[in-house]
This record gives sequence, structure tokens and C-alpha cells, in this order.
Amino acid sequence: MNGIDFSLDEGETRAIVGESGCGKSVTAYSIMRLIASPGEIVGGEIIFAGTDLLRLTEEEMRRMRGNRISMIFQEPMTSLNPVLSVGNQVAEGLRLHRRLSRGEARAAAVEILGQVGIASPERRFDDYPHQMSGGMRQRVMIAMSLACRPQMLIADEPTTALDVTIQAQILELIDRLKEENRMGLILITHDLGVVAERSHKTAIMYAGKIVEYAPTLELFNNPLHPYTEGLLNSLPQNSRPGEPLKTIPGFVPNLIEQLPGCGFCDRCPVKCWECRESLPEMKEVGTGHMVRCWKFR
Amino acid sequence: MNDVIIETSALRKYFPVKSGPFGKKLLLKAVDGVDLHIKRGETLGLAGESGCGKSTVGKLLMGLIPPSAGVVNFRGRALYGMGKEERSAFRKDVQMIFQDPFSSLNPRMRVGEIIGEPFAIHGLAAGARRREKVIELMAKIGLAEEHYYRYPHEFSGGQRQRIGIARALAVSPQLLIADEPVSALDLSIQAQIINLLMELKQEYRLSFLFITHDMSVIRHLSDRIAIMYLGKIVETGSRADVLDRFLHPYTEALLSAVPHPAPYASKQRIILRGDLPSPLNPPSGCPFHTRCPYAEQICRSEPPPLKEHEPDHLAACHFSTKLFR
Ligand SMILES: Nc1ncnc2c1ncn2[C@@H]1O[C@H](COP(=O)(O)OP(=O)(O)OP(=O)(O)O)[C@@H](O)[C@H]1O
Ligand SMILES: Nc1ncnc2c1ncn2[C@@H]1O[C@H](COP(=O)(O)OP(=O)(O)O)[C@@H](O)[C@H]1O
Ligand code: SF4
Ligand code: SF4
Ligand SMILES: [Mg+2]
Ligand SMILES: [Mg+2]
Repeated sequence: MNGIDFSLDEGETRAIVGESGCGKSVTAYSIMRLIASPGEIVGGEIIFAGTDLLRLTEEEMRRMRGNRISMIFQEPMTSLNPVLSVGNQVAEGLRLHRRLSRGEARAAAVEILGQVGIASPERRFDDYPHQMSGGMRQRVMIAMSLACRPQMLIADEPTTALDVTIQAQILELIDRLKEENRMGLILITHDLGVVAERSHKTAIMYAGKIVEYAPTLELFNNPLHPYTEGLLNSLPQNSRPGEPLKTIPGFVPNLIEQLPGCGFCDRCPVKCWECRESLPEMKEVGTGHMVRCWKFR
Repeated sequence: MNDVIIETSALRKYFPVKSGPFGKKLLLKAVDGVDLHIKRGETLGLAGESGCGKSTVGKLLMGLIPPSAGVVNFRGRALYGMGKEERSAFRKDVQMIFQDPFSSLNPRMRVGEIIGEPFAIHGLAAGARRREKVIELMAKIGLAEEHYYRYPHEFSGGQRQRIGIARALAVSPQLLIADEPVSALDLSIQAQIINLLMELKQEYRLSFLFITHDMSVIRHLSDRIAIMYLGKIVETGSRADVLDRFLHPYTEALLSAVPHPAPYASKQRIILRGDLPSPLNPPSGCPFHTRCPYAEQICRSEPPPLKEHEPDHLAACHFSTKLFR
């Protein structure tokens, strides 16, 4: 996940798209400074509202997390505490960051649970996560992460585990809350449909690197990186039913045995000798359109 | 050409479950009266939200679990009236491909043994002849001969799914049941596997039951489609009938919820209220009435029958014609 340069204004949405295991979650966790050892952030800076997050003390960072920057995780069941009622999990952050009393926090948590679409939230307050459906758990996660009205939300595959009709509800909800709170949103996903509909600018990741970054409309209309192009072409929507899909040949490389050159080299239809030797830099090709490929230099 | 290879009638599967540690036994109606059929060489796409009973239908058609009621007929013969020999032939003719290429292959067996196992089970080929057939199959699905002695963990997800497909094809089945065969795969690998399945279907004149929740995949490879909701089929018909001229509000909502990979494609989205009801306690009347934007009084009490509104186009809604024609 090296060499990432990613800026976000309030009220805007950025998306990170890529195959599973390509490093999307690691990118998000490093913004939250949640990388577990032996992972390590080796360089760079993460500026949030004028502060470099990498220079904050652990204590300062703790105050930041869940308060001004919040995160929704991929798997609601493993991120919720199974032995604490969902209401108390939402209330906990409010008591910690907003110093509300027990009663105030409960009232505020009930209100937020209602806002995220949990029916009869007073009654549901004392439920445990296992008593809820996947969609409801994801809503509880959202309630938790939005309780303190963060300025920035990182949503890591917030709907991957959910059905499309529930996904549509949750994405609408995040969008609405984003508008209301003027919140910046980083959306991590592998669903190009979600990206096309929800994000202003999009980064495409492959083998641990951002390979293309552009305004979303530009990215879909004018994909430059051979991986992005291949991926868009391979969608069933871009072939007639029953006809062979346009595929990207080969396999996804694993990140462990990383070679010096371009990570897409083995599968790329237009590679040249340089591609295998050294990794291209991100280069601005059009206005705000960045690409990491030797074809563009 | 149009002969039916497999069909079900009033198929039901109820699972007894306990509600809570001291709760009474309840029946979970995973499949609740399903009629479907697949013709020779045809792909039936089965779609619906998680827990609606798709995989259970797949297992019933495979004969992996017995139905609580109803029948499965394979080429006109009742699956649960078959004698031993007929049953063994059935197990060769119907094969399954699973969603998870990581857990569905035996980690201690070599790839050659995995693909060759069905030959052994059905006593079809042995020794050098079996090895030859396995290598032939491996070539067909894009694996080299040198992979014969490798173990599953040495392969990527897409390759493991190919191994599963080769294994299913080994005994020249007539019907393949594929339960979410691409959902667990990497984005750029899904298209490869979809193409492989379509090629093999042509080559072997296979019939397919293709289970998925991905509407773009189902559009791409189905001839006919069945949409399930809470254990019941709510709409079925040709691909074009179901996807472009639907007659059921749930089909409409499902299609409208799918995000389109084309930025700013303007689209009126129907956002359903509420969650999928529990199959332990399904709603009265029409099972969709708790979320349906068009529900009326009658929907709460009268279950709508699955009715043929147009030739081979069936829907279970009181207001199909009024709403969509
Ligand atoms: N704690 C960890 N220790 C070691 N490696 C890790 C750790 N967390 C992630 N990785 C590795 O880092 C790579 C990127 O993982 P990451 O979870 O970011 O991928 P992802 O793109 O979000 O995938 P998915 O969509 O499957 O969740 C993977 O190869 C993964 O195995
Ligand atoms: N062995 C079982 N015992 C109890 N309930 C089951 C069993 N198998 C499936 N179910 C239930 O049946 C319903 C349908 O399951 P399934 O067919 O697996 O759904 P899906 O459409 O996601 O594939 C679900 O509510 C599921 O929990
Ligand atoms: S750098 Fe070379 S191999 Fe990599 S995407 Fe560009 S052309 Fe292809
Ligand atoms: S029968 Fe009524 S509730 Fe059911 S789908 Fe039709 S309109 Fe909706
Ligand atoms: Mg992840
Ligand atoms: Mg299933």
C-alpha cells in the first residue's frame, strides 16, 4: 500500500476499489492507525483537518478515533461485542467522547438507532448482536460510528455481506447522514456499481498499489490503466447475454512474493520490457486523472 | 430438444429448530411448495436474497437431503422411488459445483486424485486410462499436466474452482447444479469462470441450475429465471420476461436495487422498508406484503397463487396485471 496520496474534502466521497486481498482494508486501517504488529507504517503523512495523524500520540489518536474519524468494518458480527447489548455499544462512545451521563447516552443512542432505521429502538436497545439480522447489525455498526457526528467516515465493504435490497437501504442511509453532517466518506468496495453511483473520485488498487485515481465519471468513460480497462470490459453489462465475456487472462499475484516491476505485468496485454524492471510512478495525465503505468509518461 | 430433464412439484423442506434454549420446536419452512423444471440444454437461473431457500432447492434436486413433501422427477422418474442401480446412475448424471472453492476440495488429496475420484466411485476408469482422462479434463479447464500431483492449497481461488468444475464433469453429467460458483472469486477471475461454464455447457450439452444473487450474472447466462422469496417462487419465465417485463413487485425491487456500473445513469430506485422476515414466522397472506410498496388489505390475508399470466410467464401477486401491464 505504498505511495498513496489521497485527499478528501468535507461532504465528498472517495472510493477505493480492488480485488480481495489487494490491500484496501490495510489502507483504511493505516488511516485509523489500527495496523496490528508486525504491520507497520513506514513513511508518509496522513493529514486530517490540518493535523498529521502519524505524529499524534496514541492517546491523541484514541480521542480522534470514533469521535472525529470513524470506521464501519467489513464484518459487523466480528466487530460488535457479542456480550454487550447493542444499545450499550452505541452509548459507550457517547459517554467516552461526549462525556454524557448514562441516562443521556441511552436517550441519544435510542435516537440514533431510530435514525438508522431500527424499528422500535427502545425495545431493541437491550438486544444482543446475535438476536439481529445481518442488515440490522450493519445498521448498529453505522449508528455506533456516527454517534459522535464524525467529520470523516471510513466504510470498509459496509454492504458486502448484505443482500442488494438491504445494501440499497444502507447506502441510502450513509448518503443521507453524510449530507446532514457534511461528512467526508471513504468507501472501500469491490462493487463497481456501488462506486459508479456513490463516489466523486475513485482509486483503483491492484497488488497493493493504487494504479489509477480519477473523478469517477472520467474513470468509467476513459479508463487508462490496462487493469481498469480490462476490469470494466469484463463486466457482464458490457457484453451481450450469452456471449463470452471479455476476460483478463492469468491470476491475481500474491503480495508476498512481490517483484520489482509493475504488479499487473504478468496479465497486461501491452507490457514492455521496462514494466518488469521497475515500478512506474503515479503520473497526472489529465486534470485530476492519475495513472501508474509506463504507457503514460 | 424440449424434453424436461428434472422437475419438482409442490416441493417442501421444513427444518425443525428450537426457539431459544427452552423454546418449543418450530418448523423453519426453507422451501415451501416449489414447482420448477429444467429442460435439456437449458440454464435455469435461481435468484433471491440470502436465506430464501436457493441452496436448499439445490440440495433437494441433488438428492442430498430428503424433501418433507412433494416430488423431484429426474427424466420422468421419481427420485425417491428409485432403486439402487437407478439411484447410482442418478448420482452420476447430476453433479454440483460449490460456492467456496477453498473448503470444497479435500486438502490432503492431489489434484489428479480429486478429479479422478468420481471415476473410482462409479467404477468407470482405472489406472493409466483414468490418468489419461483426468489429464484430458485438466486441459479442458485450463490446467497443465504438471499440476496433476499438486495439492489444492497450491492453487488460487479461480484455479480451485476450475478443479471443482473438472471433478463435476468427470463422469459426463447431464445436469450441473452450480451454487454461487463465482461469488467467492476475485473480480477479474469471475468472468473467466463464467466463460468456462458457458463453453462447457455448449460442448457437453449440459443443463444447468445456476444459483446466484448476482442479477447481472443471471442475466448473462440464464435461459429462464426463477425468483424466490421466503421459500417460494414468486416469479418465473424466460430471461427477457422476468428481467425486462416482470410481473412481480419483488422482482422489480430486486432489479432496482442493483447498482449499475455506469456513473450517473439516472435511475428511479425503489428502497424497500424493513428486513427480510424470519422464515420461522413468515407473514400471513402474501409473504412479501411486509415490504411491498403496493400492498393492500387483501395481501395481508390472501396468499396469491403462482399464476400463468402470459405463456410460460408465472407470477404470484394479486395485482400483477394492474401494476405492470
Ligand atoms: N494483520 C495482518 N498480518 C499480515 N498480513 C495481513 C494482515 N492483514 C491483512 N494482511 C494481508 O494484507 C493483504 C491485504 O489485505 P486486506 O485485508 O487489506 O485486503 P482487502 O483488499 O480488503 O481484501 P478483502 O476484500 O478480502 O477483505 C492481504 O494479502 C492480507 O492477507
Ligand atoms: N440444516 C438446516 N437446519 C435448519 N435450518 C436450515 C438448514 N439448512 C438451511 N436452513 C435454513 O433454511 C433457509 C434457507 O437456507 P438456504 O437454502 O441455505 O438459503 P440461501 O438462499 O441463502 O442459499 C434459511 O433460513 C436457513 O437458515
Ligand atoms: S506498467 Fe506496463 S505492465 Fe504495468 S500496466 Fe502499464 S503497460 Fe501494463
Ligand atoms: S400480492 Fe400484494 S403484497 Fe404481494 S407482491 Fe402483490 S401487491 Fe405486493
Ligand atoms: Mg477487506
Ligand atoms: Mg446459499
